[in-house]
Amino acid sequence: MTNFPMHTKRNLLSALAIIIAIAGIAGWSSIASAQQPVPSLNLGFEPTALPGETLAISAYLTDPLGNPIYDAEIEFSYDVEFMNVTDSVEIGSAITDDTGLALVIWHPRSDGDNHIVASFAGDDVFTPANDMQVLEVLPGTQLYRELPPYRIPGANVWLTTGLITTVWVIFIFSLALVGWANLKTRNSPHTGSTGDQRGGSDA
Amino acid sequence: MEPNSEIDQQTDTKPKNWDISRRKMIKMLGGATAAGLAVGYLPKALRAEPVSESAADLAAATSPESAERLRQWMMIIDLRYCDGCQSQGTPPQCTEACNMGHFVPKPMQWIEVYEHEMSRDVGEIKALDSATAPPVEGTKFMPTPCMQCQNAPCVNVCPVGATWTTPEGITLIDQDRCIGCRMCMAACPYERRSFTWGNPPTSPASDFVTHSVEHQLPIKKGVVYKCDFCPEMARAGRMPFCASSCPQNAIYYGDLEEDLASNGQEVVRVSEFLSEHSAFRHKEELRTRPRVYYIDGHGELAGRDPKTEGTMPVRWNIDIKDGSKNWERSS
Amino acid sequence: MTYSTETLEQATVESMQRFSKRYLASVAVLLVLVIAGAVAYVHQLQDGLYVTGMRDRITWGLYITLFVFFIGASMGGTFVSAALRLADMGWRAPISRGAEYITVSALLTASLFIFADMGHPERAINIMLFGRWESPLVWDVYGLTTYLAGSMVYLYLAVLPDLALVRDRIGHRLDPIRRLFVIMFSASWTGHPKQVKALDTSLKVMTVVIVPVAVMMHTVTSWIFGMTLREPWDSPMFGIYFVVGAVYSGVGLIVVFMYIMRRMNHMEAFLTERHFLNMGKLLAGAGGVMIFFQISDLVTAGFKLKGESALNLYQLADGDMAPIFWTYIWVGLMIPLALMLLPFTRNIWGVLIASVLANVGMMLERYFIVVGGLRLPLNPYEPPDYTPTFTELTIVVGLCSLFILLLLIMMKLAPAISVQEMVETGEIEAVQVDAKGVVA
Repeated sequence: MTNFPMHTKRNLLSALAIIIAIAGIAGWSSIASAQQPVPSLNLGFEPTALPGETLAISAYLTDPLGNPIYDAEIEFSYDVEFMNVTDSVEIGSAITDDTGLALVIWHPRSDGDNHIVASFAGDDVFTPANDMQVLEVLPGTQLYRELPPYRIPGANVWLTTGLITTVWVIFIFSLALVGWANLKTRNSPHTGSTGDQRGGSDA
Repeated sequence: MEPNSEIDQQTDTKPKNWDISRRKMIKMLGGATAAGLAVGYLPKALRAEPVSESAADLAAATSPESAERLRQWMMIIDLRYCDGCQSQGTPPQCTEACNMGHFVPKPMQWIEVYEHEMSRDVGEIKALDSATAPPVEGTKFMPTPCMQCQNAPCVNVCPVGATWTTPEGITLIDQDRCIGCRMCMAACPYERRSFTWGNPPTSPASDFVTHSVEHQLPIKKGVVYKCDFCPEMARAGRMPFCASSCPQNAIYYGDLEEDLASNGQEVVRVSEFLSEHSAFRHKEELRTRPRVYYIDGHGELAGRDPKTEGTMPVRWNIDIKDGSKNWERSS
Repeated sequence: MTYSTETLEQATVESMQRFSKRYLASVAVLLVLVIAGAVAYVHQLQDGLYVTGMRDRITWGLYITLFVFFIGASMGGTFVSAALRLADMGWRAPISRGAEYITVSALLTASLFIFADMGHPERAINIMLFGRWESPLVWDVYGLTTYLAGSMVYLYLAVLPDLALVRDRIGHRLDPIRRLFVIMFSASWTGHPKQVKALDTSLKVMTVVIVPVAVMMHTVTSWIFGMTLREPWDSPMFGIYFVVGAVYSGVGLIVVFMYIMRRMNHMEAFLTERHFLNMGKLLAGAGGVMIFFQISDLVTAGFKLKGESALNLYQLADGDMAPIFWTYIWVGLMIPLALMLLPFTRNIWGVLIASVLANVGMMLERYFIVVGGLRLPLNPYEPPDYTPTFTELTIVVGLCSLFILLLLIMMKLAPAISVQEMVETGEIEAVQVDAKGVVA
């Protein structure tokens, strides 16, 4: 190296400096990326619930040092198998506040073990994270009830039955009256023949 | 005729003022009332439960008194994806699958795909005039199953209770009790009920099935049939024929109690899905409270242009022009 | 010279024994038609309702049209007779018997039309066993049976003294069947004052009861259509519309029957022009109300042109059902009214023609209510067509012939003119006789 002329030495030195700089930056960035913090997400809710009950699902998002991460969007969902299709159904989403808490209100509908998942999609600082916990939904009462079909007030059984009964009573009474009168007096005489009874009676 | 003194004595024992004695009158009235009450009350006394035997079992299994939560079946049809199977070049797959799966006799279609004009005025007059008007907004396809109304006009008018709404919200027909008066067909505002006018062609596969109100087989003459939401399949966790056969997965079958619906590929939360897409029900103003919801669209997400002229008619495989005169008979 | 009661009794009772050639020929023809209808019905039972022209869209056709028509005809009979009795109109006397016959016969025929229309007529008992009181069809079934029972009771009470008359005068000369019938049903009537009083009371009660029963009966029939959501039927006006239409066609049918009786039994002296003109006035009154209903319906629909009521209006006024609709308006409503208003047509012929046209018009009206209402598409498709088939028409003709046949049979079972009422009301004094005592 001592035999090289001076300008070549300067070139070599600058090339070396550049190489060292590039290697250093590469090294540093790789070390830096290998160290991107992984947040931790912790779901919290009551372990059991009834169907339809108001349930508060909370999720805490903290960095590896335990500091809360705020303004991060957490999505909540739960896994279902419905009609032989397994899928994850969205419950809602919430933004973490200053304490790293994201809160969503839910009314569970499915019986049995509900696997509730909270997930954080990650941003330019943190990697994605998620958490799953099981909520046991106890057997409960029917939530969705239909209104009964409309009923016409009055057109019920008793009104119709009453009307028909009254009318038929009148029919039978009229027949019975005439029948009774005929049979009772069939042998008793009266003046004149059958043609005379019409003489004085009115309609 | 000479008065007979004996008979006169008999008649003399009557009250002098002729009118029948009050006691007699009341007795007669009482007798008449009893007879009249019998006539009026007889139907109620004779009446069995408003549902028939097989249906009674069904009612017991799904009665609200049981501790379980009942399903409340419903359907969501996403019209943004339905293009009447024009892109498939086939008749509507939902109709074909339903017809084949239930052995539905021609020319019935329990789920029928109608092509609606999107601008209402043109559509209404077009139904009467033979002159065609150019489409203003285009057309959309609407698969129309039985709406499973919760205030069903067909249930309200049936004289013998042959059609009723189960606790799960499905309207079923008991073909063993139906007398074929067709009042339900006149009453349905969606015209979703069909009558077996003749001896329907039956397939050997369906001939030996025990009749049940939940799968309406074997098909018999002289009674009414309609879409039944495939309740047995649903309880077993399988999608109905129409939903599972749709190539665009436009039909969701769901449960309002669990608030979930699926189209075979994804599961959605019914309440969110409906409110997010402003779902509507057909002829909502009639207050029949149907269980079939529609998400408005015209097949745009299936790549359909609503103004396409000369679209293939949806009925080209089922010849049912002129009020369905081509009923197929086995004899 | 007045016409004596004796002569009247003789004449009417003797006419029961007289079977003229015309009468026998009519019975024979009608019997053939009824049998043809029965054969066609057996064919329908075997092959199902496929043999008719009805299909899924037009699901009710001629059977239901004629069912409604005959219910309307029945309303005209006993209702008119009872209403005229309530109003103490003596001129009803020669008409009332025929009117009551019409009611009973029409109700029986109407119920047979329902059987013809059912997919499973053998399950009709289900209406009794499982009937739902919320169903308009059940209201109609019970309304029909109640009105039929009431009409039969009313007819029976009115005919009772006449049956006794027949029994006393020619009972020994009657054939065994009719003799048994007359003896049994005259129920030992002897004309005793107590019997008369009982009969009077009963008839008064029945008269008062049968009028609202008749009105309710036709109202519940209209509610078979009025309780649905189909646009042409979804109107609160249906009840009264059907009742007035029933009175209109019922009065017309009575006039036609009056004319036939007059010619067949030579009753020109009893059924005079005065009677026909009075019935013509009733016809004109009912027709006027029908015109008013039609106008109010058309004007309210035509002014707003709202949705499906506009479609119905187009269909009737301008579209495929226009010939039927306009025939109904002009031939069925306007011409009869004109015939009754113009002085030179106010005679027996005028009333008869007006009545026939009224009935033709009302038949068309029932048709476009039933079939036109079903024709309106509730989904986007072309309005369907309905063409009755030969089998369907045969059954229809057979049942209409049965209606007339029943009337002819009933005419020979009891005096066709109510002798009892003729004497009661004093109408017998209005009968014109010439110097020899023969009816004019």
